[in-house]
Amino acid sequence: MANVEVRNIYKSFGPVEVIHGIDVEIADKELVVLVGPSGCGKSTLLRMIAGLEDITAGEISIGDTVVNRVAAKDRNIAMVFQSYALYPHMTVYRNMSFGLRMRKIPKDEQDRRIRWAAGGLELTDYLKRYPRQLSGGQRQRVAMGRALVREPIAFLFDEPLSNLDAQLRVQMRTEIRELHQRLQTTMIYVTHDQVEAMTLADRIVVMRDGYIEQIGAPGHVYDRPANTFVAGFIGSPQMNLLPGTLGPDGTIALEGEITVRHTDSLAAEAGRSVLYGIRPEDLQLVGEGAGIAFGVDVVETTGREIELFGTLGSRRICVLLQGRANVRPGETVWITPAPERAHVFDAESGVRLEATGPS
Amino acid sequence: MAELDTAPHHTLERSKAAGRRSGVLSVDRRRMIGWAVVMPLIGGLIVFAVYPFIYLIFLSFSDSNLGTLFRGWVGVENYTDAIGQSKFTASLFRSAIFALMTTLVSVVLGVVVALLLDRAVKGRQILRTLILLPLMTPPITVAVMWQLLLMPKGGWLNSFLMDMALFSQPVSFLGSPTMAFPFVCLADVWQWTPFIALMTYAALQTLPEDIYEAAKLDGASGLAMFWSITLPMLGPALLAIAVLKLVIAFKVFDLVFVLTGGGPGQATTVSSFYIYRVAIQQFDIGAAAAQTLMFAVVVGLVTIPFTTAHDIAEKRLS
Repeated sequence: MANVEVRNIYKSFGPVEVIHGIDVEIADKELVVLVGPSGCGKSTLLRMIAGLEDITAGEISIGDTVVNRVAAKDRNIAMVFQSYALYPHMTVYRNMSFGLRMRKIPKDEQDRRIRWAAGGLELTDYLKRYPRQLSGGQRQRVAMGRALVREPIAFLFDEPLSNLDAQLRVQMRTEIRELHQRLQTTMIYVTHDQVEAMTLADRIVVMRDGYIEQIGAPGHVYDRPANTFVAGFIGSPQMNLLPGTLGPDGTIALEGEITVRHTDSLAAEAGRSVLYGIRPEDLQLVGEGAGIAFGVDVVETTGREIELFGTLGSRRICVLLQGRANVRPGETVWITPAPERAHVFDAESGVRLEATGPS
Repeated sequence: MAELDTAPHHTLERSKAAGRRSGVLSVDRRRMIGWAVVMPLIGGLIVFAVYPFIYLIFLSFSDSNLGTLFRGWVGVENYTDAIGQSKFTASLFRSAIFALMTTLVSVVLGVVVALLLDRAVKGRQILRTLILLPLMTPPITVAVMWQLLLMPKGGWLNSFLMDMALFSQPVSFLGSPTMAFPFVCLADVWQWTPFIALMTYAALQTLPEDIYEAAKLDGASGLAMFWSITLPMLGPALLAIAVLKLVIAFKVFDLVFVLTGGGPGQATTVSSFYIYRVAIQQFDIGAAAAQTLMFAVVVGLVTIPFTTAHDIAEKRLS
């Protein structure tokens, strides 16, 4: 059992408080991703779970044991660092056996575990090499192997793929997901890359400025962002957010005398200033005059899809088209949003107005 | 608009012209500039290293005294004489022992002090300054201070040992053939350990923190951390510091001069002091030159294993 519970955790560096009382419950065998922009406190939280940072206030428990006063080495947790943090003076084999030697695991058992991990990570041919003789991807595998052989109760990953090139990152991402499915061990993964978070996680914890903005399954966070921050942070290209006013009959009046519909019963709130959110892929091209006129400034083609950028009212928005479309910069096209895919947020607080958005 | 159109051409032509200019430079003038840049260094080396070295070699094959240099050529006589003198060969051996002993002890102590300094949370600044005191003391003062400490009459150590009733009679530490050499070593260690501690402390600061964190999570702590992580990663720096300390120890003169004058008997006569006596007291410059060259060979023989080990250790880590 290695459920991890974070209860009302605070962290200060000197007079500066960086984490302001957060709670997270991570179930046994779950893969939870902490995601957020730089400086949001995600790495600090991970390091507190690892035992590398003191806890200013609150409680962290691993497997029902409060670990606030348990040293890092006694928590039986393994961590993969962004910099890999391999021991430069040890061969791959020695790097992987270090944790086992420290724990006085018998030699033949050490060997068995290292051969097993090296086999799975395609490192068998490199066991006698030094870290400096390996590529970035191989070093990353060694770092993972070093964690694997320990057979810890939980794995912590601190932006482990940030130093790899794009292609390798995608490949390693899949491997980590596979690893989790195979090992069935609790994993906590920190990243600032929302795509990584979406693809890897059982559940995502979105953080900002030392607070948790939302916790939920990737699909839930994507479909029902709790506020405008999450709405903007999760999803690429970003969700379009347009200021408007709630109308009496399921409509929202946007700038430029544009009226859009949403499917929820927020009629009682008529007159309230809101932010209307619609994801780029939820805007469709329609025939001339049938929707909202949209002047296209920039067209970006990724091959699989086309991104159209332009201005609507005073806001710059993006429309994402699947497949092929013959649209040129400077043209005006007609778009229409899918009402059931609309999100409505309070204009002032940015909080999602409930009973809106895709269910 | 017209102006806008021509602008890139201008830039292009300008950069082409610059390219042509640097193209001309690249063959002869660049080579000349290269020589001009290294000439001051080469000149300095010729004046301050090459010339004195060649001069020394010539001297070593000559009959020279302080009054008259190059009175005649004597071939290898100065060398054979030196090898024949057991006092000289013994001084070479003593110098090597002195260098190795003081280096070993001061590096070990230096590492300990550096680690303590690294751990010290409060007052690190003050501690660092305090530790530097022996280094800031002029060597001659260090020697005089140790002389006062070790004096048979009124010396602090003797008073202390007698107060503790460990000795009934004052002991002349520097006058004893067995104790003089260790005490000269001790004074040297006292003087140089701070320097080594400071260098080691600086090297410690360069070790990556995340490797320590990884080791911590791997279950390492205390001594295991030191032996498996700190020491191997500090290796190249420590070996470089050791080479420096070896060379400094081989050059020791002032401590011996003030504390013992090389005595009692020959007990503390290291080569530097022995050669000084040959040159300045016996005026035999030719012999001193030959002995200096032989001494240099010994210094090389002792330090080369350390520099080799340093190169290997550094290559392994890079």
